[in-house]
Amino acid sequence: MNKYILKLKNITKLYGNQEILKNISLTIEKNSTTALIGPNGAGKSTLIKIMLGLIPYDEGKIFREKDITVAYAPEECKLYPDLSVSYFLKWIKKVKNISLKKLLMYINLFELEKYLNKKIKFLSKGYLRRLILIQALIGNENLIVLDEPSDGLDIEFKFKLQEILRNIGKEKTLFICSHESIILNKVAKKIIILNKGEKIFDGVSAKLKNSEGKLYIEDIYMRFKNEKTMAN
Amino acid sequence: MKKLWLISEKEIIETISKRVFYLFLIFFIIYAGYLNFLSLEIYTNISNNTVTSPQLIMSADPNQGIIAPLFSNFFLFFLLIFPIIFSTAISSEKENKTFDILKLNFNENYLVIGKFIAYLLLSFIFFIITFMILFPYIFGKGFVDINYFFNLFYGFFSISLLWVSLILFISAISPYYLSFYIVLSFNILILGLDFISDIIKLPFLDYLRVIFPYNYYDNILKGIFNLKMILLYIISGIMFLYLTSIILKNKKYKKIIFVILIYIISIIFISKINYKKDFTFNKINSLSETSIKLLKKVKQKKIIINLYIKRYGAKYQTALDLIKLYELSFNNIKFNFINPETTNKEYGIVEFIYKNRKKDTLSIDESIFTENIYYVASGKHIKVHIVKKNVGKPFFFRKKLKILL
Repeated sequence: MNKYILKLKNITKLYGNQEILKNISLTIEKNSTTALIGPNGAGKSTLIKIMLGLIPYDEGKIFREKDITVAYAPEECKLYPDLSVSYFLKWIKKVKNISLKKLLMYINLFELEKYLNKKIKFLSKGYLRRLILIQALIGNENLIVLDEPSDGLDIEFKFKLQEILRNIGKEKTLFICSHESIILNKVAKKIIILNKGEKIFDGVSAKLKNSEGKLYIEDIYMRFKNEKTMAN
Repeated sequence: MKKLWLISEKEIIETISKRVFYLFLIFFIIYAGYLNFLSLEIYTNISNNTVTSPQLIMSADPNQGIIAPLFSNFFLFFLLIFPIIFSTAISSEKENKTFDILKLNFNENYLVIGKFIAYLLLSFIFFIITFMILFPYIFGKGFVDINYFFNLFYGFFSISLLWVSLILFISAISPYYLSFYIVLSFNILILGLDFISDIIKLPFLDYLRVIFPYNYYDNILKGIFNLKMILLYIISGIMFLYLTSIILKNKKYKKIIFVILIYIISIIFISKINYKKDFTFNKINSLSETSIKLLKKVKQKKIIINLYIKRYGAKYQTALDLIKLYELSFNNIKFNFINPETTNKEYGIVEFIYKNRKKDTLSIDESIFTENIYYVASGKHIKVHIVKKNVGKPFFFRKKLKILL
């Protein structure tokens, strides 16, 4: 039996003559939580879209587990501005084939009760993000891909999300692209760092933790920047 | 099926949640109501006066005089309201990034067909509203030509099919901020095509004129069943839906070229079909029994009729209406409208030609036309008297629906 749920081998993506992703190989293991980090323009979102089969790639191969089902929370998604929150959630319930009990539990968990009758376009950025997260986390999919899941959330809810993701990560495979230390800490078991389309680190998160045993994205960036300067 | 309906349901709810939808609905109801009021007024005037001209006889038919003008506003609906409501159907999903979420939950074919069903149903809301405006009149007066309504129904179904699929296709290939303008410009081009093709003579413009609603629309409103156009519209609609699905699947150009090739081959076969039927109960679009009987004897001979009439005049419309009666029954008669200003012919002359035999007249009249066609084809002079306008039995439903309040 395969241990991986998704495996990328030497993936290259070109836009014109420019290489956006260079020979990227990675493995997402079953029931693991992987974080993808990297500066802006590193190719993170492109890599995610290729993994999900949303855009084509130029070279390489992708191996998927037979029964893979994927849920996705994109970055900067506006959802359906004219729909009401309650209709959207009921629609998601039907699409994902989940029980009303589970839906109500998630509404409660994401504190959306007060906003059910509002149109999505009138939600604040933080509540819109919660709605995007619900549609990705609520289903029965075995791989959940989250692109910047904490974007727009207040600090209090970021900690809550950390807990939610930790609990979900015990049963499902999570792949998170984030710049947020709060989200990565205690959640990510494995880290992949991407820079200018190249994979520069792929390993367990423990290796990147500081002396206090915490994972700070700023420390990681500084560390790799210094290593690169020294190498030059 | 459940997944298909989930897409359609979301699409319908999303559209009817927009204020712009209600704005157009109100505009449409007021416009259709006003048109109905005008048609009723004209119809009452015609009915109260002695009817002599064939055109007025047509207008005196309640289906032609009231229902047709009311449904004629659908043209405006297809060309202006459709793009405003539906043009961003797919491009907005891409812009809002919801398309990525949808693609992971639904197959691309489901996405396209689901959206298509939603918009087809929404377009029929406008059809039903128009019908409801007519409702008191139809049932108050006590009769309705079911054949005519049946023709209207499948006619609009096929036009909606093509239009919705075309707009979905444009929405899939264009960026969000441009899709509305592209659809609208395309529709304005169609609207102006009749005038443009008069000024600029280009073969492809003539082709577009055949494909797009003008001729077909006229047939629908008159109650003429046109098999070629129905098949053409259905095939074109399916092709646009399929192309949309291919584009959403990020497939290569090879497949697109293959689909277009199959489409062209089907068009070639369909263009050979020439099956038209007068669907109206009273056969108001048909030639008289006398003309049909006489001209059947010469139907193997290719006859050319040159009408030296400038387009868009009153005489042009009368001639066009008469020509359509001949076109419905015979394939061997070819008509040409020639601007008299470009020739040395007298204005309004109609010239009948078969090989070396020629005859001309100034009258736009069925008996004269039939006499002259028969003469140039056979060389024999005859006198035609048309005593009874309507011929044959109704094509589909054999009874009028009679409902009294």
